[in-house]
Amino acid sequence: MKTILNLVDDGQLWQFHGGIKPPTRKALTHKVSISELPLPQQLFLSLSQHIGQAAIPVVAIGEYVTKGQLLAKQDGFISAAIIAPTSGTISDIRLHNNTHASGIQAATIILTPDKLEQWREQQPLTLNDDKPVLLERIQQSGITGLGGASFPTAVKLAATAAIDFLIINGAECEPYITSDDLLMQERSDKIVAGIEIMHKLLSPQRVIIAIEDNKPLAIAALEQAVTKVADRLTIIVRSIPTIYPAGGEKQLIEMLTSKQVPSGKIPADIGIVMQNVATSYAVAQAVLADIPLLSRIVTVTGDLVNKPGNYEVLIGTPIEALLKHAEFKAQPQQKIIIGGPMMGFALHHIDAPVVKATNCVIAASKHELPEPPPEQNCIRCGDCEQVCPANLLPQQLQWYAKDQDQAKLLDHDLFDCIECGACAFVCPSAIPLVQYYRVAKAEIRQTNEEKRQADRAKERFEQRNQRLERDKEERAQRSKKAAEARQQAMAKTSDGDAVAAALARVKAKKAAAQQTDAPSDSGKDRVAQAIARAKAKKTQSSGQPTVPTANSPADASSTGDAQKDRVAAAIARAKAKKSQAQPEQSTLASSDAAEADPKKARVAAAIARAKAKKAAAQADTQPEETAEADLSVNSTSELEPSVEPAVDPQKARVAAAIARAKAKKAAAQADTQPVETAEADLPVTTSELESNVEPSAEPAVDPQKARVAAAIASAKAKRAAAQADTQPVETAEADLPVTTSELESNVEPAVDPQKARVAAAIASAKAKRAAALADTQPVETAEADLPVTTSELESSVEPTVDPQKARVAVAIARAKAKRAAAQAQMLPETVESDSSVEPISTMEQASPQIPAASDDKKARIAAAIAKAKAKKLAQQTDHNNNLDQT
Amino acid sequence: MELLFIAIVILTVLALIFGALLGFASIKFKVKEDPVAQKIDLILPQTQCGQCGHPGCRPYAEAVANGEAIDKCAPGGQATIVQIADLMGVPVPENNSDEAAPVKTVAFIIEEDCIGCTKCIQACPVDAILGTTKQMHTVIADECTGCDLCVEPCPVDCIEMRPVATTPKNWNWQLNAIPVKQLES
Repeated sequence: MKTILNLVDDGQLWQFHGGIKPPTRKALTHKVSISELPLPQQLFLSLSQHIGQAAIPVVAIGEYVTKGQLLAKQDGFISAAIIAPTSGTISDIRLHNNTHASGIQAATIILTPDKLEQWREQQPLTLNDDKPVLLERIQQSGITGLGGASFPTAVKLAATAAIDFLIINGAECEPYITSDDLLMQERSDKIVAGIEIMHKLLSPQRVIIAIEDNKPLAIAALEQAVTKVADRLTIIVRSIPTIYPAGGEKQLIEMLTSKQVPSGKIPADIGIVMQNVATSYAVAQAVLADIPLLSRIVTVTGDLVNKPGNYEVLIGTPIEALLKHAEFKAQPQQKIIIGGPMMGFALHHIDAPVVKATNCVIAASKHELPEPPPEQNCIRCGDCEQVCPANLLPQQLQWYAKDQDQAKLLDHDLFDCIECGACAFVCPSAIPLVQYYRVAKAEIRQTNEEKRQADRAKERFEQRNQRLERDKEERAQRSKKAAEARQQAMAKTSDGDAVAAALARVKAKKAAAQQTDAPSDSGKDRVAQAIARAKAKKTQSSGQPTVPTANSPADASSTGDAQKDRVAAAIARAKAKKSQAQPEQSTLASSDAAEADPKKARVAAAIARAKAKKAAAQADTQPEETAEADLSVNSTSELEPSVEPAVDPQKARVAAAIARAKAKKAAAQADTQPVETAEADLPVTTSELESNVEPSAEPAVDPQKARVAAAIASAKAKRAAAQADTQPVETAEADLPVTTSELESNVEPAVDPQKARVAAAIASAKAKRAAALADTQPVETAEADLPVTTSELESSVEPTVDPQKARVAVAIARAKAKRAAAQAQMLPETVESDSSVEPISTMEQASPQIPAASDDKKARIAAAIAKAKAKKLAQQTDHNNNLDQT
Repeated sequence: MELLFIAIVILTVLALIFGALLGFASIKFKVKEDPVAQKIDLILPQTQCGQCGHPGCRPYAEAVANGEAIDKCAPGGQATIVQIADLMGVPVPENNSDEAAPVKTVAFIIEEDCIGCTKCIQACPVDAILGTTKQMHTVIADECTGCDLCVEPCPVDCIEMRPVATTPKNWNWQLNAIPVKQLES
């Protein structure tokens, strides 16, 4: 049993189905040697000369280009470069008539030659160069298949599949055309050199040059050339019978190897690559001489040209110039055919250029190539089926094409038609069958394209509808939530809060009276008074009427003695920055706390404490940092003493508990409805408290603001948590800036936003600097635990009713926390482990006082002060850090 | 008597079995979408233009499946009507208008005139217009279905519908058709 390879070696040929023997008419030109065409006035280099994407111009109008320079680069995989065929100036890039059956214009680079033939630098390669280098050169040279289809050659030669046969197509089966014939006769050595290069790239088992037996000179020339390289490479030169369309890719493959290329596949799929002889020549030129594809051989023939022959023509030469040189004499209604008479097309515009695929220009008289007779009805003779080289049923296809029955056309493998024209050639009714197929193919492509576009449009339409739906839902939910929040707020305010407020006011007054009576109760009380007075003074000086309220007890007392107050205020400010707001807050706290159900509150407080403990324990989990964790908590609790003397701690705790209970209730509510709060998924327990408490702000206060605040807070908490988590605790100082910036950003809404923003920017910059400083010193201090403290503070404050006030409180609390941090940094040796719960409860004291806090105006002033102080603190911290570093 | 009893029992049991089977099948093989509407939807050109009076192609497909006139799709033209008639098994309604097959167009924004009002963006059913407030808008020609819906909302009338240009890729080889060309005066 012989394999196909053996049979091929034995010289066996197979037959493809059908085929015709039209008059060849090659005698006009097949003995006229190749001559060069003089340089035309202008060259028109179309950007779409090949199959695939049009090339992208890389030159500008007016630019001078050298011969061989790249004019347009390939766009994508299936595309080819356009090279300057000679030196000159780019005069224009515009639409120009293209050599295409449609006559549609294409973007064209117009080059005016300077007739100097100025070459770019040339770098010839050799056969010994690496494959990628060779392939790149072929690609850069803009070589496409020169047989007619103009498929980029480099793509074909980069085939990765194992190749059995490399077939060099010299069949040239179409009538009239002799360009390949002459090329083989005159430049066979170069063709073989190109085959050697392609052999190296593809490593096929056999290389066959196929030439129709009506070209004996070409066969002889190539046989001679092949023997010259016989020591390196065995190339089979095979003479094949002259039958149209033997030069068709699939037909030639079947003839030489008996293999049929399956429908919808390419020859490389069955291990075969076919190249035209002219392509092989171009490859040799590009690789061995570094002459890219600048020109090609074009047969100019027909009985209306006086000098028929083969001309080496620069790509882009107008066909007009070519015909003129061949002394063409036009007749009325003259047709110029590009390509052969079987598969070619009539040119629309004679100024269209020679493109890479233009192998022949036929200027024939009507006598030589008569107009086809009028189309008649199909008589079902079946001749077309007999000659079809693709084994199709042309007659059936014709019916379906006329019927526009796309499904049936596809059933009958319309797309396997190679449009060779054999069926139309034999048709006794002169039906232009191929024309019908071409139209049908275009229609099917169009339908497919429309279908694709419709699918895409549908998809986009549906996506858009989904998006709109989603937006609508979100909006509805937002408004629903807002409405609910409003309702709750309404319910709350009407819930006998007025009575509670009145009670609180009375109590606060009493407390204030006590304070003024015994100013020496404790140093801290005095501080509280002083600050309160300072505030009062500010309110006065700003010219705004002081609203007499119970929660600013010091206020009332201060109005009486302005002079004293001023001094006191100054002293107070200098004395105790750290405790600035706390005393005031705590006094207020007591009043609010009084109303709560003590039992409930205690339970809530217990829960809160448990949580705080858990948080503390978490902070303690890192064994090395145990001491530091305690320290941080402790340092926070240092603030405590400043508060406790002023108020009954028991009451304060109860108040805190109430706040918590409320917060929890709110949280539970928030949980039942699908609220988009990110707090729920906070990973670290340190922020658990926050997540529990924060939603409470939503129903209680203006939901918009609250949500924003909550989002900010949660984002910060997350960040802090993440940082604390991921960073080794040694470098956890980075949390410090977070605290600082939090401080600033929280204060913002209270004051003039413009200023606040500036302040915030400054503060954050400072914080960053502080962080950088802190980072430089790898101290194992308690900073890692700061976020815990911060979030705790936040959680304790947020359940308050008015966001404005709440924020102020947060700011104050944070300022303290920061200070505490600073302290902790300064005294890293202090280790106290007993007060892990205390600080939280202390901070919680801050919360209840705020609902009672008099009015917005004052709160705002307080906020301003707090902010100023916070700023100062930031500076101090900065300073401290600097000191620490030194 | 006994025979009658047996017969009743057997028939009852059979009825129960088949009832259960049918009940199961009606749940298991329930057809959620109207298959006819789906098929019609596939025929429609999906321009989502609303010229049929329905908000999109799918709603019109459903309406046709429920007995609405099949000749309301303007962008689809006669070809679509014939296809739907085929599918529905109804005669093709007589084509009273002598309109030629609809020419496929795409929206084109005259960019110098665009004031960036985003009204066309909101009108586009397939999100084929790019742009933002006070910035020039432009049409993604490949995604445009040529539905005309953006033309009306434009306050400065800077959108026009232009026929899709013929390129060698969509050229249809109708060599006998004489190409009409506007000569510049």
